[in-house]
Amino acid sequence: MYRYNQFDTEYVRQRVAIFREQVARRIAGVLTEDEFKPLRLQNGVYLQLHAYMLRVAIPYGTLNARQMRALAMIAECWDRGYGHFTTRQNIQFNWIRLDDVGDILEALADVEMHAIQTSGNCVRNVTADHFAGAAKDEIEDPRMTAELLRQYSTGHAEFAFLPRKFKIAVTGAAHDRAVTAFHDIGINIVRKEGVVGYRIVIGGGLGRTPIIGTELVEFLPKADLLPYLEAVLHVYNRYGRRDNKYKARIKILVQELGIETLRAEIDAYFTATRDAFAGVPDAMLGAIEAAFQPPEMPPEMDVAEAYDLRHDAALSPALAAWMETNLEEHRDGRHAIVSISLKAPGATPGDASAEQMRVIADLAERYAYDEIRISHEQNVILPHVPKAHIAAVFRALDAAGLASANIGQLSDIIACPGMDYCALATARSIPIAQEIATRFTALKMERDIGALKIKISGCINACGHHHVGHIGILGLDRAGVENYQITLGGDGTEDAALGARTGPGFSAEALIPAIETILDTYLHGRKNRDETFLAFYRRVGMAPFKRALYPPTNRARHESAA
Amino acid sequence: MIDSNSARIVVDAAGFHLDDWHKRARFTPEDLAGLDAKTGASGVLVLDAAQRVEDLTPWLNVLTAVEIGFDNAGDGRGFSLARALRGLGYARDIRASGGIHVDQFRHALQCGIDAVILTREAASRMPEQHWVNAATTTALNYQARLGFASASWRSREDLNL
Amino acid sequence: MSAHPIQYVITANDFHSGAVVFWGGDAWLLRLRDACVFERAEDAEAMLTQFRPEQVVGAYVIEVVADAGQLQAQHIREAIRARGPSNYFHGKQAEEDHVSL
Repeated sequence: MYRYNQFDTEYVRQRVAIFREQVARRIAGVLTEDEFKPLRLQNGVYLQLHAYMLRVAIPYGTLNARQMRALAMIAECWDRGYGHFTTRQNIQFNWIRLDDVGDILEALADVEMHAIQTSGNCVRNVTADHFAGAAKDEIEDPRMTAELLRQYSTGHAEFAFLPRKFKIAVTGAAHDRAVTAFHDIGINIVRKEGVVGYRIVIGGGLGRTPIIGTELVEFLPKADLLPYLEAVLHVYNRYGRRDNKYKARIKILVQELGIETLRAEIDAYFTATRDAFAGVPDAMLGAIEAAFQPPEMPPEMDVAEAYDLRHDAALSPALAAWMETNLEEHRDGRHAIVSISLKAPGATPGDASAEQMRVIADLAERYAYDEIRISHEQNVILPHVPKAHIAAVFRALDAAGLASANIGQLSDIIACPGMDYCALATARSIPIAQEIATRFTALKMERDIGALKIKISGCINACGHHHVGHIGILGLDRAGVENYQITLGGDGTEDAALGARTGPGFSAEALIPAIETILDTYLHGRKNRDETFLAFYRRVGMAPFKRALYPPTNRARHESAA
Repeated sequence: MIDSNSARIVVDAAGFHLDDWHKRARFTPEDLAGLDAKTGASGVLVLDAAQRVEDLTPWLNVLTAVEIGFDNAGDGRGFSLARALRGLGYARDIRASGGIHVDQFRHALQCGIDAVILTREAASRMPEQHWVNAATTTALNYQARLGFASASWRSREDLNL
Repeated sequence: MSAHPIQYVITANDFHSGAVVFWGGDAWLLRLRDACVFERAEDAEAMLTQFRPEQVVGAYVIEVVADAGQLQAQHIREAIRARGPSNYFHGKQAEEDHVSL
């Protein structure tokens, strides 16, 4: 993985010093809160409901054991013993004192981490496929591109005060695990006539106005990526709307100008400035490329070639069940990709205790070439685990309460922090996730239902990606009372689709029965067990769900309540 | 006429100065069409952050002083405007005024803005040393490392950082 | 909705710790029950301009009712701020009265 060079180290240390000095000026009354707020946000510091929150960047979701242990240490020293992994592959600490932030940033810098640009109206942490470097269907490791973009976007003077935040995701595989269609810029690594380049998608996003991104460039040569993005950001910075926060994302500019006009504007700037771009020095490109080579596999791995996981499965039903859901095929047949679920039914989705972080760190170091990933689905990945070690990894995870066998299933729920923590939220999402997971796993419906993505957001900003959930739940505030809207049929992959609303929302009490009705409708209506929830929805549409959710006798009551 | 006691302060990478532009004529892009070259060269073109600078190309070799107004500290359009002007070849002075503060000085310098015009109040709240310190942080620059160093990053070269 | 009359309390977050605080009349306090209660929203609003920014951030007025002598926030968001999150026993619900800022 990428290791900091002298420059990276100096840069991060300097940013820590600058932030300490800014806090001091704020305390001395030199900076007003209005001036200070954007500065703290660009260092990942929010003021939430109960305390400050620090969002730490995990670039493209990749970290090593030493970094994971540092996160555990931070959780214990300065927080309440846990951290929350987010849908942008970052980690958040919920109980931070402003006075401690400088020390925490210093501790992060010690392990080549930072919180720079994890908030604010700037280019945010660049995300990537969490199976990068291990996936079978990959053209190129997207993290090379993501690391280049991390460097390019860090501290970019021109783009620190954009109209709104700017999110970039990169995938190098045919199957889109990085939700690229719903980013300000989605980058797909493609091959055309034997040459690797980029397909650029622009103006996707969730939030108040969910939009599937539009193709901006069908094939962009790799060498043009930075000057081209520079042109995109330049045009956005100048012409993006600043009069209304909800219309300030680039997706609205795409809609208002039209893709043709916007493309012409971008191309004009790109053409005018490309010559002034000297190109990324080969040494820098080389260093990035070298950082993302597959791990060196020890010679005894040759023996593992013949390792048959069916042998392990036969010995333990629990292990067999876990392997069925939490293992993914690796491009190297001797290895498997392990997903560690942070979704134990009843627990807070995405939370890990300091102790659990250390268990994961130890496993990564001992069995998995010291590589860890965080997925946007709020789980942890060990991307390269020799098959011979799978059983040992499972046993260690099980002992730490980390062996939930539910990846991609009902209880593997994405949920934002919601109104239990977030200052923007309009309703709680964590208790809803807890209740759904507990209720339906107790009913033993999960295995029968199979592949299902439930995603919950506690406000219209959609951090919980509810628009792309097979079942999406959006919590709203109806005169001081929580109310939940349900959407069906969303999909964040290459078959991108936005969920459609079932109809009027539900109270917190009525929500779980409504989810049960939806699941029953599917279970009774599906052709067979191979027809997934999403496939069923695509075949039958909304009508049967609507009929079941809003029977004629109840309809009047529902509508008046909404 | 502004007397020197009430004149604004100008801060560049070297520190505070009195505003030496305050006696120059000020004009906007609408005035350009009727402007002779002499006035163009001796006056200050005042730009709003929403200006399309590409339309100014014919005058860029005449002008000697451009002031970009920042609406508020959260509005970064002025940074792109300065970059665009530098990209179009404008090589003389650019100053920023309005809602821009010391923590944005690095951004201003790196985008090709030479100096920031301050009110007396702002200058007393944000002392000279803070601005000079901020100017030194331009040295660590990812974009320059990645091949973006160019004429548009002029102030960096001038400072020999 | 409660039959008790709506009253008003000023809340904010402590600048250093970020902790939820309530205006107690001459100091910021950690407990809603210790808050200074205003009968009229205007009287509470009128206080807002006088708080020192180096002490608290974002002071605003919330609605409360006194139910059986206990002050309760009207809005669920404020109830969560006054109590703590629902997924862990953290925040005010878990803190002793002597906990300092």
